[in-house]
Amino acid sequence: MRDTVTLSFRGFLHLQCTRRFAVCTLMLLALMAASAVLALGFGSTAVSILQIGGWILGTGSDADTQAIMQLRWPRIAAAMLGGGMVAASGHLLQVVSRNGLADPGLLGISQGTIAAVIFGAAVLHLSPGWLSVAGLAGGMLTATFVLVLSWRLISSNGLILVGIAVSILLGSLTEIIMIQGNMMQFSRWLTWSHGSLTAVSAEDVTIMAVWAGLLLPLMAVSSRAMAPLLLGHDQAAALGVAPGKMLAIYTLLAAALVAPVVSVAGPIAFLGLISAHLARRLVGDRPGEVLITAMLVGACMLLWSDTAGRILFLPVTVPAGIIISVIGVGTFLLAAWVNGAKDNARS
Amino acid sequence: MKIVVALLSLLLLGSAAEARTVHDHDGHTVEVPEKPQRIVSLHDWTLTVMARELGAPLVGSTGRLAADGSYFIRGARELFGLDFSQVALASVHGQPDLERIRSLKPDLILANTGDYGDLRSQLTTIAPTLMYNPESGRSPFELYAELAGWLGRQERFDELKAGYERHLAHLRTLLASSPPPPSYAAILTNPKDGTIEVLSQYGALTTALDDLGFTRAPIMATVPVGTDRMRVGAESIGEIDMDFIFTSYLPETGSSEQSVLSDLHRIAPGYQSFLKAHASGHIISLSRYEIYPASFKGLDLVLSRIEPPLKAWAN
Repeated sequence: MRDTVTLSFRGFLHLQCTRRFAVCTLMLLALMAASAVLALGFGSTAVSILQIGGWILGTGSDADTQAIMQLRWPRIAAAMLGGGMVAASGHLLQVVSRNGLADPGLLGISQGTIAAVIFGAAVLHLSPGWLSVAGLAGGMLTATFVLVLSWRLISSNGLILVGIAVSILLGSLTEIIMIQGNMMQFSRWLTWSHGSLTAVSAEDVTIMAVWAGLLLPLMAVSSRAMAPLLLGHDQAAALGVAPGKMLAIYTLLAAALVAPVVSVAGPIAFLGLISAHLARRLVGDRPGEVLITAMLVGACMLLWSDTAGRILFLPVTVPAGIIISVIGVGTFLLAAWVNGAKDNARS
Repeated sequence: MKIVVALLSLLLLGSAAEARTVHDHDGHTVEVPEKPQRIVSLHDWTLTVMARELGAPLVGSTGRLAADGSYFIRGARELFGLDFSQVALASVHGQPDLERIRSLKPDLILANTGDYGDLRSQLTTIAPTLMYNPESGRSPFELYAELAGWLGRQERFDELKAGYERHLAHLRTLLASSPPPPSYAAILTNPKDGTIEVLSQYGALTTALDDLGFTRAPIMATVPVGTDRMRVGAESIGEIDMDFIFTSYLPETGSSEQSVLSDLHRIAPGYQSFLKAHASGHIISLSRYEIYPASFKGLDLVLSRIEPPLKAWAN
């Protein structure tokens, strides 16, 4: 059995990938589609699978079903899009930093977006529509700032250290703004900072889809430099890749991917980290394949977390960000346990 | 006969469907029913309290999770005994559930800007939604009057206001014979970190005291604009040394009217010897969610509580 397969699209595009990746991708796509249909069926109001089918196929559904679907579909679409974007961001950052612990939160990008949104709301009194723009600008500015500060170091560890320092600084500034407001504002920031898809609207999904549509082709075009970068900067340069330039491109791409998600839903910690880890376990180490797998894993994880959060503990709803964090800690402990067992077996 | 019934039905439907235009606090122009019959409130101690006091037909409200796992309506429970056997739970505070709100079939939704601004477009697909902004810096009772107009309950508001003004006039007669009027400081105590919060605006409490003619502690004027409180250390306790000190306690946490005294002792040991309000027994603590929300019942509770010490003061 051959290890690689070539996917051909109408004879003009040929993609070579491992068989394992092709199988995983198909399975994850099927899983994601099934999860989305199930998520459409779950909620405070019961909707039958026939009604969902009628709504999806447009073959007729009653007004009640249509109204409920209008409330459910934006957050389901946002979970899949957002999960994929955060996962892609996490993987890109892990490549540029050559550090498996890298995550949008670690480089200060999430914190930059949070700070901009809170500053925009509490100090500038921006409307919700402008807060998304402010969050996006905050995330991008922070990424640029971190990049410029660590530029002279040309070291992946330097980037992480600067990112952590900037993240701590922005976290402190955010806290200062939060405690300046009244009690209602404080509890509101606290709720938002948990990462929730409750307030997602169709307009938010459109914004996220536009960003994903712009950034995914850029990622695809630039993904060939990922493998050389993983060998180290000297080796990458020897293979014709400019490490400094690619570092900047990937970091800004990572920021651009995560900022719209954070500005819409709040920070989703751990997702970028876990998705890339799980993707590597599933398909190995080829960066392009890990990227796509991580995006599908991230989409499924955020969708499951959001669905679980809105149905498991009714009438209490739990933000998806909290559920992802719980899963994240569990994944860490499991990974540590598996690695420990492997080390023991080797010795 | 059938024609008469049909005509009557049409007339009834017509009157129920009458609508009027309201401009909410976010600048939206909203068509609301002339007499809404199924109102859902999405904030307990502001909107639910006021709608309940105005006698508006509430079918649902947000609630909070108590330590024992039950749900309660902050403010409306303390003031009116409202609970979820009388209205439905629309969502848990801070965790909006749009489908649950929709299942209550509201004909009007009241939401506050801060918590539900992002969700307005989704809420308007369920029912006409009015955004109320209690954090605009305007007086809570000015906002309350506006809400009464939105709900078509201006008459009821005026009745409640007239009752309050009668009570106020009665107490003012006590003060008339004793110029200058007493001074007061409104505070909250934080014994855990040894600080005091100075309050510039505290709903019914500060409204009643200001209306009564009490003068404010100068430190209350230094609370930054845009917020209603300021945290200060124990060394600033002299700044609250007024004729009266008002604070509040949360019965649900086991606190009582006397808790403030032990809190102050922890924050500033020996305060008894230098706070004149202590010597005259004028440190007054009230149940927080009876006097924090904007309600005429809360105003009356404050006036009733202050009446005995005020009589003593006047003499």
